Amino acid sequence: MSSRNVAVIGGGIAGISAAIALADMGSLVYIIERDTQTGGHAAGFACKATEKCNKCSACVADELILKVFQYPEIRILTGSEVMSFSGKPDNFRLQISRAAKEESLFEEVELKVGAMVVATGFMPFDAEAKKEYGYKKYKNVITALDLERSLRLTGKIAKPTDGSTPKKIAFFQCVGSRDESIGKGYCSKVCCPYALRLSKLIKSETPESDITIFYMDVQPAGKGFYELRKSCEGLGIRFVRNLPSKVYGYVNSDFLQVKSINADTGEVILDEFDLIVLSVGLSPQNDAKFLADTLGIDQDGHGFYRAKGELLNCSSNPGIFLAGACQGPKSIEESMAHGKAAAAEVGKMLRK
Amino acid sequence: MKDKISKIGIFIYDPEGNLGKFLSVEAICSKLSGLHFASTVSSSVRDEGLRDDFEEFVKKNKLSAAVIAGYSSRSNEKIFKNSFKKAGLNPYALAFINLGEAIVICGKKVKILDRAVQLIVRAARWIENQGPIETQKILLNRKVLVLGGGIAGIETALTLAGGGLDVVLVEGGQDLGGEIAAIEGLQDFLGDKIRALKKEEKIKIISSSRLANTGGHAGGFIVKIEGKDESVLEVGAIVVAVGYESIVPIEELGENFNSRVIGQRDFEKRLSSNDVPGRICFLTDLVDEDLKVQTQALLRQALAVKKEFDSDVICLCKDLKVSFDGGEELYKRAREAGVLFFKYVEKPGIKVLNNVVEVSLINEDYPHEEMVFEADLLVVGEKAAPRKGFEELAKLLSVNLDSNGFFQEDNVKILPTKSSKRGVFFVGGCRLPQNINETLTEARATAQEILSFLSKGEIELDLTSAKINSDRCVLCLTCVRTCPHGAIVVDQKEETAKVIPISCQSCGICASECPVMAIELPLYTNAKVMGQLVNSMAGEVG
Ligand SMILES: Cc1cc2nc3c(=O)[nH]c(=O)nc-3n(C[C@H](O)[C@H](O)[C@H](O)COP(=O)(O)OP(=O)(O)OC[C@H]3O[C@@H](n4cnc5c(N)ncnc54)[C@H](O)[C@@H]3O)c2cc1C
Ligand code: SF4
Ligand code: SF4
Ligand code: SF4
Ligand code: SF4
Repeated sequence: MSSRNVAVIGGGIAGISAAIALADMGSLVYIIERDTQTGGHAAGFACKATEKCNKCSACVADELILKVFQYPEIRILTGSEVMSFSGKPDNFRLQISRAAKEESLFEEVELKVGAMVVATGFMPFDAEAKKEYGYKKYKNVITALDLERSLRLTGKIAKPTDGSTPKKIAFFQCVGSRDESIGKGYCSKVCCPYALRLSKLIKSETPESDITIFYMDVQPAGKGFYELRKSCEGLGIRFVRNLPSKVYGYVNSDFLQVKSINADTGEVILDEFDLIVLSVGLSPQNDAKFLADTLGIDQDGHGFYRAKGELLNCSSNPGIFLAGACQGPKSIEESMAHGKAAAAEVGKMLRK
Repeated sequence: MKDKISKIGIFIYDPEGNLGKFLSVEAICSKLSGLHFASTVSSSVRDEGLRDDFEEFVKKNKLSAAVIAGYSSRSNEKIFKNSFKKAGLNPYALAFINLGEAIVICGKKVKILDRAVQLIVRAARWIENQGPIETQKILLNRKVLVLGGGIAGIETALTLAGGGLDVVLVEGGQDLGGEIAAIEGLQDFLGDKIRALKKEEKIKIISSSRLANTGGHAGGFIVKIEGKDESVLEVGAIVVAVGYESIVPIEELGENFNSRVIGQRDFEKRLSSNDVPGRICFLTDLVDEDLKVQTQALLRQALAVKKEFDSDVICLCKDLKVSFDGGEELYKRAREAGVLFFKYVEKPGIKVLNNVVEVSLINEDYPHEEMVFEADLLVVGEKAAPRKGFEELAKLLSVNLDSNGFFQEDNVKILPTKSSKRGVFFVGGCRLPQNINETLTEARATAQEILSFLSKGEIELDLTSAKINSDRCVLCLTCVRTCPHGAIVVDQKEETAKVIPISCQSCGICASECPVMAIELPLYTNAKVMGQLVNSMAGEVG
C-alpha cells in the first residue's frame, strides 16, 4: 500500500520527530536528507548546563538522532534531494537524486507516497551581510553558531586570533532579525534564549569574564526562563538596551571597538571588546524557493513556507504538510512538537 | 537465549580517532587475561556504519554479551541494544563505558590504561550473569479522557478522533470554547471547531461535569465522572486541558484600582460595544514575565482602538514580547498607525484623579526626568492564575503542581505536556498559557503522542521495573510516598505494596528508601551490587 507511505523532506529535529510518529502509526517513512547525516542544526549544539540543566534541548536532539535508527520502518536516504514531483494526495510520485556509494556519482530513485512532510529547516542568517559588524573581516567577531560548535568540540571559548580566553565579551542580539533595513521584519524567537544560556555558561565557567548583551527586548522562552534571566543579571552579566551601530577593528589585530548610539539622548558610546558574538537569526533555506516551486507550495513574505490558517501544519498544497523551522522560527522543543503535530495531520488524511 | 555466557565481546568505537591518541586496543586486550573475550575497534563515523560493524562482530564471534566502550558520552545504547535484540540475544547483557571520562580524570598514560582495563573488566563481570529480563503484554484501552472543553481540549479531542481513538470530553461548565470565546476575531474559527467536534462520532461530550475519582494506570485508568449523571469508564490516557484564570493584578496596582483601570478582558467587551474613550494607556508586564499572551492582546487591542476609534494610544511595557508568529509585523503596524510605545524598568506610578488616570514613568535613558501621561482609561495586562480546583485535580491524578500552582511537566525538554505519571498529559494554559498557534500545535503533538502509545491496543513491556518482595514488606508506605511517578499502590488483599510496571521508570528511589530492603530492580539486584562491591574491594586488575 504505497499510499500509506510518507516522504519527509529534511532530517532535522522536526523531520525526525514527524517520521518517528508516522512510523509508530504504521507508515513506511522515507527521510530525504540532503546532508550526509541526520539531525540538522541541532546536532551541532553544545550542552549549556551550569550547576544545573538550563533546558536548551541540545541533548534531546542527540537522543532523537539515535532513536530514529531503532525504526526499521524509517528509511533514511542521506545525500538526497527531490528533483521533481507529480501526482495527487494519496498518490504522489517523487524523483530523488541520491549520492551513490561511489563518490561523485548520483543515482535516481523514484518514490511513491501518499503524503509528504516538508521539514527543511532554516539557514542561519548570513552575518557577512551586516557589513557594519565586520564578520569575516575581523577574526574575533564570530556568530553564535561558531561559538556553539567550538563549545561542543573543544568545550572552551577562545579568541580566534590567538586561542587565548577572551575577557570582555559582547553579544549582539537581533542580527538578521527584527530589521526592516535588510528585509527581516520578524523575531527569530530562539536567539534571546540561546544567547542568555550561552552567556550564563561562559560566566559560570570563567567568572572573571565580563559579558555585555546588547539587545532590544528579551523574549520569553517557556516556564522558568525569567528566572534564568534574573540569574544572568545576578552573575553580573550586563544588559544594555541598545543595538550597536558599528564595529571598528584592524585586520589581523585583536582590537575591537563597538559604537552604539543611545536612541533617546543621541549620545555616542564607544566600548572595547575581546570577542563579539553575533546572535544570528533564522532565515529561510537558500533554496527554499526551488523546493516551493517544485512542490507547488506557497512562501510567506519572508520566504518561509506559508501555513494555512491557524493550523500551522498545512501547506497551500493538499497532502503536503509543514514541520519545524521551515514554516517560521522555532526552538528545538517547538520543532519537535510541530513535527509530531504534522504527523497527526498526515495520519488524519491517510485514514480517510 | 543461553543461560551461561560463552564469550564476551569488547567493542570499542572511536570514530574521531581520539582514543588512539591515549591508548592502544592491543594494550587493553593484553591486560584482560582470564576473561574469555573477543575484541574489535570500529571507526565508523556514521551510526549506520557503527551498527553494521557491531552486528558483524557479534555474528562472527557468536557473542552473547558485550562491553561497548567509546570515547564520547554520546550514548549510542539504543543502536547496540537493537542489534542484540535482532540477533535474538538478551539486550540487557550489554554494558556501556565512556572511556573519554576515564581519560579526562586520569591524565597520565599508564594510569589511563589501568583505568580503562578496570572499567572494562568491571563491566564484563556485571553483565556476565545478567539473566534475561521478562516481558509482559499489557492491553491498552483505546479510549481517551479529555478534561476541559477550551480550544486546547477541543483540538486534542479532534486530533485523537482523527487518528481513530474514542474520546470522552468532560467540560465543567455549560459551554465549549473557554477563554478564546471572548475574542472577537476568533469566533468563526472556534465555531468551526465546535461544529466539527459535535459532528465527530468518536467524541462523546459530557458538560457540567467533573472528574471525581481515578484508579488504575496508563492504558487502563478507571475514572469516575460526576455531574448531571454519574459514570465510571475505563480509558487508556487522560488529558488535562482545564485552562487558567486571567485576573487583574490588583495587588500590583495597589489602591489605584477603580473603574478607570480595567483588565484586557474587560476592555475586549468595551471594544465590541464601541465604548472606547479618547485617551487610552495600556500597561503590561506588571507580572508574568514568562508569558507573551499579554503582548499579543495588547498589540491587537491597541491597533483596533487606533484604527476604529482614532483614540490616542500609549503602551507601556518592560519588553515587547513579539516572539510569536506575526508578532513583529503586528508591532510595526501598530507603530505605523500611530500607537506610541515606551519601555520601563521600574514599575510606573499610577494615580487616579477625578476623571483621569495619571501614569508616570522614569525613562531608562533619562533617569532624572519623569514622563507623565494622562489617560481616560488605563488597560492593564492580566496575570494568569491557576484555577481553584487545580490542587484537588492534581491529587486525584497523583501529579504535581509547580511553584505558581500550574500543572508541572515532567521533563520540558522532551514533550513538555507529559506529566510525571505515565498516561497523564497537560495541554494548554493549565500548564503554561501560550498563544493560540502554540497551544494548537501542543494539542496536536500531544494527541499524536497518545496515538503512538495507544493505537496498537497492546504493548510489550520489558520488566525492568522495581519488584517488591511481599513477604518482606511491612506496609510502611514509604515507597508509595517517595515514588516520583505514582507507580506504587497498596494491595489490600495481599497486604503489600505493589509496583505497577507500566508506570515505573526504574529510577530506584523506592529501593533505596525501603527500610526493610524489600524492593529490588532486576538490573541491579542486591546480590549483584554486593558482588560488584566485593570485586572492586579485591581489586580487579592484574
Ligand atoms: C546559533 C543558534 C543556536 C541555537 N540554539 C538553540 C538552543 O539552544 N535551543 C533550541 O531549542 N533551539 C536553538 N536553535 C534553534 C534550532 O536550531 C532549531 O529549533 C532547530 O534546528 C529546527 O529544526 P528543523 O528540523 O526545523 O530544522 P534544521 O535543523 O535546519 O534541519 C533541517 C534539515 O533539512 C535538511 N534539508 C534542507 N533542505 C533540504 C532539501 N531541499 N532536501 C533535503 N533535505 C534538506 C537539512 O540538511 C537539515 O538536516 C538555535 C539556532 C541557532 C541559529
Ligand atoms: S537541555 Fe541543554 S543544558 Fe540541559 S542537559 Fe541537555 S544539553 Fe545540557
Ligand atoms: S529572539 Fe531576541 S535576539 Fe532573537 S530576534 Fe527576537 S528579540 Fe531579537
Ligand atoms: S517501603 Fe518497603 S516496607 Fe514500606 S511499603 Fe514500601 S515495600 Fe513495603
Ligand atoms: S523505581 Fe522509581 S518509578 Fe519505579 S516504583 Fe520505584 S520509585 Fe517509582
